[in-house]
Amino acid sequence: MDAPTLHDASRDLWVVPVRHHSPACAAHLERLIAHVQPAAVLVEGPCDFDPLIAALCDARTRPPVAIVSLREASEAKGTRRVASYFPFCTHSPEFVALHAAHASGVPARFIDLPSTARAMSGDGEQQPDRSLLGSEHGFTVGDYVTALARELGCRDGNEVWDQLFETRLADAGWEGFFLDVARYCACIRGATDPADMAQDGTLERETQMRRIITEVRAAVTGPIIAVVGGFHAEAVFAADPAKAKAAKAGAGRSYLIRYGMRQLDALRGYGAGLPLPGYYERLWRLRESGAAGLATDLVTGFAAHLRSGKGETPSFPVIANAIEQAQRLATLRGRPFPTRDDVIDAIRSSFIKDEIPVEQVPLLNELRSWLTGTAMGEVPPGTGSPPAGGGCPRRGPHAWLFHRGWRTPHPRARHLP
Amino acid sequence: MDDLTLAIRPPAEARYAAELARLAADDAAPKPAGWHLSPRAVRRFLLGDPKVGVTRKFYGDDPLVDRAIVSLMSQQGLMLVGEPGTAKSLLSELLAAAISGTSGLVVQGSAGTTEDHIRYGWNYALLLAEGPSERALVPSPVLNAMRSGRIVRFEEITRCPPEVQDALISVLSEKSLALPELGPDAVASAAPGFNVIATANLRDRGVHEMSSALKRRFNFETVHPINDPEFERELVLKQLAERLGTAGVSVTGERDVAEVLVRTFQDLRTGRTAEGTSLNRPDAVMSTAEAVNVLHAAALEAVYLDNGKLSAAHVARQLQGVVLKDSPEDGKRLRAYVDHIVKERAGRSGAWKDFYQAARALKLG
Repeated sequence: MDAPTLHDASRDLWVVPVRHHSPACAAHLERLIAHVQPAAVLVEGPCDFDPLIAALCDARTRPPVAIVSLREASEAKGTRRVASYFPFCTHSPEFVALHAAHASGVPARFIDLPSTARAMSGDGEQQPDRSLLGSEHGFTVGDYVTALARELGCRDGNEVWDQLFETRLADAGWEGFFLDVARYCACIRGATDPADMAQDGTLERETQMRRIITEVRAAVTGPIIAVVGGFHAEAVFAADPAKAKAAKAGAGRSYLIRYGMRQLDALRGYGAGLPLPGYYERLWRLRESGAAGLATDLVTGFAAHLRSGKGETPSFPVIANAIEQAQRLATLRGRPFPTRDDVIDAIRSSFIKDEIPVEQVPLLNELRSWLTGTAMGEVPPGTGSPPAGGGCPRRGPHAWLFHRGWRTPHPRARHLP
Repeated sequence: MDDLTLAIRPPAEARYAAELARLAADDAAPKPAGWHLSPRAVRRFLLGDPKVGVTRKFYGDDPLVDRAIVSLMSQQGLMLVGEPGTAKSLLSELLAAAISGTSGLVVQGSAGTTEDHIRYGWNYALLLAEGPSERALVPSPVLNAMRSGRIVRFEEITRCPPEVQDALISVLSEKSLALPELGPDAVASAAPGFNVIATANLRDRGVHEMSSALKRRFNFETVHPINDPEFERELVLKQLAERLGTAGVSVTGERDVAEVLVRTFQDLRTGRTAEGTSLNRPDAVMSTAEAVNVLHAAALEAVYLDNGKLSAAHVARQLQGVVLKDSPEDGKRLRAYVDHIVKERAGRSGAWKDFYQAARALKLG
């Protein structure tokens, strides 16, 4: 495998590998953008979302928000309405990149296939969610990540990511950070079957990205930054002068909508983004101080949440013990500050004075729910809204590239945001 | 002192003396006061480190080991709970051996445990002859551990009557024990490195409730049974090899038989087969430890009473003793399992056929 690189000097193109919704990537990206001062910022996302960038960067927009793409899918039974979502949090590298471009007055564009393209939404059947989430999928399953987890003593790929990258949130060197992310993603890609990449649309999407990057490179002078999911980074450096695909007229419409932390939560089984986004939100807020006091913040916050009527209130020694446990676990596992798993472990050991059954435990469920957060975002008034019933996310999270038809064989409860 | 290596089951610090010595030699990390090894070294001792030649001793839940080690560094005690046969006592023994160099300071909880076992007793002859003195005092393992800064293990704490359990409360919160017979200000204070590892089976018959004051002073860790059949099979085979190795005998054909045994145990433990059929679970606990015992007994039968080739029939004959412990209903449940599920599998595999034929002949009531 070649040594990874971030910067193609001959074309003055920076390709920055990120993981969606990662605070560490967002923090380092801020510094990179400030250093490079690009003439254009390109972001991995459907290119038909370009008209919504202005609304996204509006001062009144408060994440979590999402862009929803609605289209009609025709199939044997007739047509059905299909929705796909692209969420943004304050700690999303994509959001940070778009905002930085807006603040410096440079153009920003999305560079992926249109949201209505076949490769983005599968073949119209009810797909199992996972198969569409190419770049995120590799971070949590796969031989390389599993072997690495075992080597590092981590439970799963998410813990490996936290250990190797989120803990470097406050480090000074963004270049070293992104080179390591590139190396990690290159290894994941190296362990992925190329046939899978052709089948799930990855190769087609990367072709589109290369084409739009080349198009923008020809039109703009000065350094260009492309922010892409780490899995794709090494594939989008090459130039490709062919014409990029545009959205077919009338294929569908996109809207910027309010979104909720619950829907972002990857642990509900839909894959994109780090699980328990409320935790990463807090980590992001404490990034300048190197996440000092994060464990205290989380444990006391959760105790206060329980005190407000959600469960048995923990006493002061229990809280103090949980904070101490979290910090000691982090030290034992070699982390500079307690990560998500350390805090959950500490609360599990200290707050529960009983046997934990193999099935779900109310306190831990409450903890997960609290760590997910209940925040809902805001969009500026006057942003076009999707037709009623067309934009409400269904029960359960909707990650980017996962779509649901409105007609399903069995009825389900709907939670309006 | 008897030669510990000749005992039926030497303590962990004797069995793994070489590994502990290797870990201690390499250990440059800071150690908490009173500990023989640093926390990372203790972790490597339990979870294995091929580079230093240390085998893995605890399977199935690595984060649990982290949490246990960290709890022992704190002011809280460690309470291991869970079903029988899930290696709670083994974990407790290994932690004590690694941290304090000895796993021998044990209080065995039972309905007959008194406060003397937790605090101290007396050499009555000396007591009568000389009056109360340090010489006449017989310290309990807890007092020994406190004075020498080591870990004391309290097995089956919930079997002790509540008033006896509560004698531990002041030991854990103030880390000191009053010795009123020795003088008005005589107090034994715990040296650094002292802590308590308790094990309990919270849902058995004949156990008492723990008071919440006592619960508060422990961090609870639940040890779950192993649910990965591949894993359990490897573990069972490894344990069998160890036990037969010390007896100096060997047996053939154990891999297939272990597969049959582990599958049976998993099905009966969870109430669900791998194919998805649900069945009535017996009340008797079908733990991994039981599986090892069954396989060991079957192997001994094969070696000493048969031709040395282990077959599933040997295992089937031992199964009766495992299942018919408690409730007579269990016999019927096992019979139903044999008649339906095992019979179907017997059509497809030689090992299962042997198992079925022997199991049919069992008297299960």
